[in-house]
Amino acid sequence: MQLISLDSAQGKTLNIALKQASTAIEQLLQTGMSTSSEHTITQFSELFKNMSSLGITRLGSNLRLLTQEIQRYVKQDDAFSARRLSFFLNRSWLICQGLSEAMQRQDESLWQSLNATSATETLDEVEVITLGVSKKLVAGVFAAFEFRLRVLDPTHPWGNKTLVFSLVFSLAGSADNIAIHPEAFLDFGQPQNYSPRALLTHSIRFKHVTISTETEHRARLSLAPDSTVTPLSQTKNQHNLLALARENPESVHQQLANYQPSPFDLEIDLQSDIVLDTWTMGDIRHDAGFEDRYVIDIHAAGINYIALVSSYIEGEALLIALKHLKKSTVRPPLFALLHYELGQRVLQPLSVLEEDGPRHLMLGQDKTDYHKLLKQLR
Amino acid sequence: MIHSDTQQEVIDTLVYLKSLLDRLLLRGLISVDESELTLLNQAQQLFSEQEAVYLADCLKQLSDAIYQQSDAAVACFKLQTALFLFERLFTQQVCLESEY
Repeated sequence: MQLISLDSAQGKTLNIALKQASTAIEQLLQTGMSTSSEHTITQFSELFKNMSSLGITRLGSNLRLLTQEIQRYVKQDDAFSARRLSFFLNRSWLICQGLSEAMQRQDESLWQSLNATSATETLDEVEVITLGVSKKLVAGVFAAFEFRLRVLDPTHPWGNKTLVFSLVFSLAGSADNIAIHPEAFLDFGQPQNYSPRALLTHSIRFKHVTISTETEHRARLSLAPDSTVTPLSQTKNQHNLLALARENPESVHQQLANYQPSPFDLEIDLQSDIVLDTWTMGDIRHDAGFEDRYVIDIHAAGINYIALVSSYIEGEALLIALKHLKKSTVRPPLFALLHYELGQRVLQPLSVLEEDGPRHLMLGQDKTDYHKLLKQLR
Repeated sequence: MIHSDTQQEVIDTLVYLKSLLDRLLLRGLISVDESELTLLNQAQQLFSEQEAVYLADCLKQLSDAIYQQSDAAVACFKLQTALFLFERLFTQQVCLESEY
């Protein structure tokens, strides 16, 4: 979207809308959430619609997520998160200020940074293997899986980099007594005629997919209706798995050294996939800096890390797997996501790379009671 | 540069401030009490000593705005942003130092 002149009719309309949004956000912070009501939900919902109709999609998207969180608070929904509310409130306010400033100064660079969408390209064909999967579960809202893929051909333009493929399944409207275990979704057939579990058991050929660049080292792979997903050989037959997974230590160092934070970042924007070949782990503990998560000290090659495990149901399988690994005398190489937070190297362990392929630590057994489920659905 | 002997104190203060700001959002800035203002002042002193000038200034702006009951929300958002940026740079420095 082109930078709008403040003097144009569109600029004047947007400037008024930005001031309205800023004022509404500031008033909410001043008085606190206890004064919020259905009226507040309507007010923010209108702000979101207004901003989206003006084509300010990034701010519109933040306001939509902010409205959802306010709605959860007002409806006393268990899925409400004060941290998430605080994040979207700050982010929305900040984007309002940035867009106003960009228009006043006619700063094209600032304007584009607040409006630009990721660069995308279409790939006719790419063959990949899944190295790890993360699982996110918000009860009654959604279950999501994020597959970390590596291109099999290291000479491919996306070779030695991370491709991320996400699947999100809505849990909205599912009654508590019809409980489908999140792992069951991995066996649900998808519109492109594949089962997501194939991504765990086989290398995969994707055809006609979109790649959205997130960083120099990471991109997101998305499917279109005409994409195809074809299982190739079994993962256990992939002999160069460790070589495919292993990061370049100099590249990880350079990412950290060259990092220039922006107020619009997330902590996990500076993120690398890493493999720890030989590693030790401490006991499970708590840390005030990482609420709602267990912390485990991990040491490898002279460097200290902490691994985080959600203390909610989404972390259950990972916690069990790590407890088993602690007792084990031989630990296979650990594949994890590394980010940096509160002065520490923080790991999200995803898999151990065994001889017959990756063992995905965040995935548990599908405990859905299908007999009961079928009876309820009849 | 943050001295290594004060790193843990800096981390504890960052955690406290982030948590305070999240709580204030639920309660509203009009609910800030004297003990919280004292802690904001202590944090301002710590970051001034560590030459984190912008962050210390944002802490002072919030304290002043709460006392004067004027533009406290704007000061709060500025502080939240300054805290985030400081934490990013502090973490980068600590992690780079620990590589050697």
